[in-house]
Formats: sequence, C-alpha cells, structure tokens
Amino acid sequence: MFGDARSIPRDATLETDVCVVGAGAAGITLARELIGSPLRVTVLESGGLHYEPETQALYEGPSIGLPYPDLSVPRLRFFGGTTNHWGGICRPFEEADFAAREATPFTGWPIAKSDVDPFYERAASVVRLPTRDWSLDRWAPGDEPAPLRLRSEHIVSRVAQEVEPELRSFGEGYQEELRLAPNVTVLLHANATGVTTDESGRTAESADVATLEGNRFSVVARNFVLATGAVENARVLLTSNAQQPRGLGNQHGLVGRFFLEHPRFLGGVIVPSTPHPNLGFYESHRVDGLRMQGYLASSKEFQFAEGLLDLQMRLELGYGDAPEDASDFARRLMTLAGDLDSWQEIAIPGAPIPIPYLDVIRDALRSPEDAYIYLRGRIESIGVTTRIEQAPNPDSRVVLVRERDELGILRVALDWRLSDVDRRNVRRTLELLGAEIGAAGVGRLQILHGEDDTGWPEDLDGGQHHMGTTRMSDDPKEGVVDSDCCVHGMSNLFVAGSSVFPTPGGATPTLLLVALALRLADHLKGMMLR
Amino acid sequence: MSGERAESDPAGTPPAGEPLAGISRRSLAWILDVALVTVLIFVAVAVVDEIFGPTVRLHRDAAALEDVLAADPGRVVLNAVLATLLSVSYFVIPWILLGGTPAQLALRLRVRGSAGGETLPFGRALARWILLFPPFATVSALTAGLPLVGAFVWGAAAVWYVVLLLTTARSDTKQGLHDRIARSVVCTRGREAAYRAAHVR
Repeated sequence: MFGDARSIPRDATLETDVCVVGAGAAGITLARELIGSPLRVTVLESGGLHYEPETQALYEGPSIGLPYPDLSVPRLRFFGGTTNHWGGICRPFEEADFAAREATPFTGWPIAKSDVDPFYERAASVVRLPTRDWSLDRWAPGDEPAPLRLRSEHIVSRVAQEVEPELRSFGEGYQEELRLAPNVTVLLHANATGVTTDESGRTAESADVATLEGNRFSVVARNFVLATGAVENARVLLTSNAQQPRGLGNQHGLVGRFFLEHPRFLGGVIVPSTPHPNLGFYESHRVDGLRMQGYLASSKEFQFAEGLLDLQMRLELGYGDAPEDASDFARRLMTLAGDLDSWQEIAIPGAPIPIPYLDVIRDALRSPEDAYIYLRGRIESIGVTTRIEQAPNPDSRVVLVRERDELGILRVALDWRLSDVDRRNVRRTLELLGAEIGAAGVGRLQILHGEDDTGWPEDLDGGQHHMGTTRMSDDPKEGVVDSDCCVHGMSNLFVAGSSVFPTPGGATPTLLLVALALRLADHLKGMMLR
Repeated sequence: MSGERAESDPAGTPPAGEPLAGISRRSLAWILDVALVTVLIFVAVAVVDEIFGPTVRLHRDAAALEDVLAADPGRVVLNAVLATLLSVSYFVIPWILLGGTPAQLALRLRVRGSAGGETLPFGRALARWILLFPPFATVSALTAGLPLVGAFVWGAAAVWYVVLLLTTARSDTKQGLHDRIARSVVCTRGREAAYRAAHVR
C-alpha cells in the first residue's frame, strides 16, 4: 500500500520489521521480494510518484574533482528513482570481473560470480529482459549482423541487451504490485535524514524521517536497508553520526571513498577501408524483435596479462561534417553520385523504374536500422568511444560539505578522480585495437590522445553509474559492508545498490545491483524468519 | 490540338477520323504503362527468387570485411533477360495485335503506322519499344560497382526522355524521335470513330 509522510502525525514512531530507505531499482526489488512474507516492510521514498523540483533539489551537490555534472542531474528523486531515466542497457558481470587483479590495488570481490548467478536469472525477469542469453551465437544468427573476427582473440565482441523503453521505469512497472501488497507500505515524501543507533552504535534502532513541509517522525525496525544510490548511501551513513562521530560504518574512513564510474570519451577514430564497412552488429539493432547492441572490448586474458582492467569500446559510424567550401561540396556531390552504385546493386535490372528486389525490401522492413545505415551513405569515419572500468581509487570520493539542504542535512560534493592505471588502460587497449583492425583490413585507427598526455580529454564523461562508496569486503579495513551487504560493525544495517561494488566491472551496473538486492532479500528472509 | 491534321509531314498521316493525341494524355499513358510493367517484372523476379533463392544478399558477416551487398552476377543477367522479355511482351505484342498498350487502350489512345493508319508490324513495334525504353536500368544493374557509371546512366536517361518529349512537342504530327524512326503516330480514338468501329459493319 502507499501512504504519504506528510499525513503521519508529527513525532510519531512507526514500527516495522524491515525499513527500506529509497524506492529505486534496489529498494523496489527488495520490497517486492518481501511481498507475501510475514514481515512488515516500510519503504521510505523521498519523492512522490512524479518529478517534483523541490524534492529533486535535495540532490544538489557540486563536483570538485574531474568535470562532472551537478549531482542532481544524473539521479532522479521520486518513486522508481533513477530508473525513471534509465538507458536500459544490461549485461552481466563475468567471472573475471569479480576477481582480484594483482597489478591493481583494491580489486577483487569477496563473492564470486557463482554466488550471484542464481540471482542473475531472477534479476533478468525483474528488469524485464526477455532472455538471459548473452552469447554471440544467440545475437548474430544466420544473416543477422555479425561481429568482427579479428586476428587475435585479445579484442573480443560482446553483447548488451536493451530493455524496451516503456519497461525501464521500476516506478511505473511495479507501482500497482506494491500498492496491492498487504505487508508493504511505501511512504512517499518521506526523507530519511539519518539512522539512529543504540548507545553502542552497533545496532540501528530507527530511521529519522522529515518532510519538506516540516513534519518529522521516526520508523523503528528490526533491520534497515539503505537503497538510495551510491552518493546518498554514503551521505546517510556519514551524517548519521550521533553515536559514531565519523558516521556509521566509517570507523576506517572508507565511507564515501572509492567512488567509481565508467568514464568514457572519444578515444580514437577509425578511417575505414571500405565506404560501407559491415559494422551493423555494433549499432543498436533488433534481433528476433529484441533490441541489442554490440561492443568491442579487450579480452579478460589480455587484461590479466597486461595488468589492466576492463575496457569496452562503442563504434559510432560517422558521415562527415557539412561541406566546408564549394570545392568540398563538389567533391561530396561526386561521392554521392558514386553512391548510386548502391541503387544499381539493389535494383532489378531491366525494370523501367529502379525498384529493389523483394528480398531487399523484406530485409529493410525486418531491420530498418541496417537499411538506413547502408542507404544513408558512405561512412567517412568510425568513432571509438572508450568506456573504462575505473580502477578503485581511495581519493575518488563523496565528501560532506558545509552547505545544508532544505531539511538541514549537510550536502555532499563529488571529488571524482581517475588514475594512471586508467590512462594506461586506454592507451594500451587502443594500441591493440589499432593493430588488430589494421591487420584485418577494417581501417586505420588514429588514437586521439598522446602517450605523454597527463590530463584527461575535454569530452570525458561518466556513464552516470555511481558505484563503490560503500564497497564490499570481508575485511572491515578495506570495505564498508561485508559479503552479505551488512555494514561492518553494525548488526542490522544493510546497504543495497551499486555503492557496494568494489570494482565497476565491464558491464553496466543495474542488472548486478538488482541481483544483489534479490540476494540480500533472501538473506534477510533467512535471517528474520528462522 | 484535337482534330489537328498533319498535312505537311509526309511521314505522319493519321488515319481518317482519328485526331492526334496530346502530349499530356500520352505521357499519362506512358507513366501508367511503366508502373504496370514494373509491377509485372517485380512480381516475376520475386517468384523466381522465391524458387531459386535471392539474387542479392545482404552480406552481414563483418568478418568478411566486404561491402554489405553481394549480388549473384549470373542471376542479375538472367533477371535482366526476364525483365526485358516481359517488357517487350507488354508493349510490342499489344501494339501489334491491339494497336495500344493496356494503359493506352484505357485512355483511348491508338498507335498507328504513320503511312496509312495500319497497326505496327513487329520490326517497327520493336524499334519503338527500344527507343522508348532504352536499357538504362539493365546497363545500370550490369555495371554495378563501376565508379560513377550509375550516375552517368541515369543522367543519360533523363536527357533522353527530355529529347523525346521535346521532339514530340515540336512536331506538327506529335511524332517524337521514336515515332519518326518507327514511323508511328499516336491518335485519339474519337467518338465518331469509336461509334463506327462499334456499329458499322
């Protein structure tokens, strides 16, 4: 059922079994898993069912490190959370993504892929993916666009599935289910301003709740789960400092550190050898009606051998800029005339009107994107956008600042930093890519950033994947939560979401964070219903 | 234009009672015929492709590192022959037997010999077809892959049809270049002639 925090009596104390803070992908997944159980569940959602500027402003926070948007931009603070503008790209982590890399400090998860696999199966249903198959064979059958086969196996192709746009919002998709759930209460406009513990500081007793209208009350629970995203999870822990002055779980100063992203920028440009290189696999397209996108990436073997982390490359086919002058225009006109070759090939010979073969029309109807790619003209360049698995860096962090929000809670700033490990990863992988595509005859790669460059390119951006600020480790000196996502030093405070990722892996985070939320739900049920 | 006679041009003498056809109606008939014969060829080639497999394949295996399209050259030639035979059959046979293509008959047009109003014999009908439908499309398909040939072929086609249109418009007997060479003239089947054809034995 749904309720509104603004109508809760002031200073009231609500009791529940599990208090979930945040109704985004992780929070909603947890709450859904507990539907029908004997446990009473209360979900605290800061926003309403729709976007409200006043609530969204609570997210505002500056960037004081590498260029990054204001923290209110990448996230959404209403029911469904950031899934309300999620891009829907899904791919599971591989076994190697969980492994420690000897050459890179702070890598390695305390759990293996086999611990997550059963939950991946369920997570695929939760995010509404129609298939759990990411194999190349599945996504390049028959005459569908196929991946490049290069000389060595150091550059590989991989598949990401795309959730259909209308199915991406957890808020829209699961609102009715939660509304009908008798043991789950979603309180809207309920801002968790902190977690109060007992005197020992080891047991969470209540979540303090405030509304923008001035109402305040608390929720007492047996267990608490923070599911507010990597920035806010750290913020809640750091500002909950009544008993532990450095904040909950921060006895080793790790909360908020190791902020991770999937940094991306244009790393190189390929000048193709043919005007219509056959790269449809690497553009967003449909196979059997399902949307997918292919990527190039360094192989795990190459990464381990070179001491690198993952690097994924997206190919962006470019068709040149507008003509610069009359001679350039004339040259392009000739190029366009040359492209009539395309029509010559697909037109039935002898027909007075140049009409394509039925098979060509069928193909175009079945895969309009491919036909468009082909017919819109020759490709002059192929951009290679690199997406790096950022190396864990304790100096990349979320920190509290002096400014307070409308609720009186300290705001945070993001000090995002990359390292030489990341720079070397880009350079080395692009060198390999250049050699491979050159040998295969695809084209020539120009790497855009010099070997001696110490800065980062101007188009550096993140994938709006916030991770790492409450990283998972069995060692309290190296992580904020244990392998059950329980905050070290606390008995009943858990964290859900990608803030627990110690490394960002080579895949987008949503599928894994949902899988981990399912795993945490099973853990809570096992623990509480014993 | 209706009722215009061609006294001054010995090559063009429309049959008695049948006025010369105007350019607009002839052009409309030509467009309809082109559309009909295109559909006919499209269906025929589609049937052949269904039986023997596609002529043109979208070559999607990136490992091949080739352009996306791959056409079977032998099948392209066979399709060109099939399309040409269909086109000839569509135009030449009706001109010989009926005095007009389906669209011309529907628009009450008749193609006659300019000497005495006779229906065209095979040789002149074939010549007229060749001049009206020079094998631009076939040349284009058979030269696919050669740089700029496609652009040249279709540019030449545009020029050719302008020539036919202009020569037709400038002729007193409305005989374009194709009509002059084939010694043909296009007439409108007037009401009087139609009545006589239907009732007078």
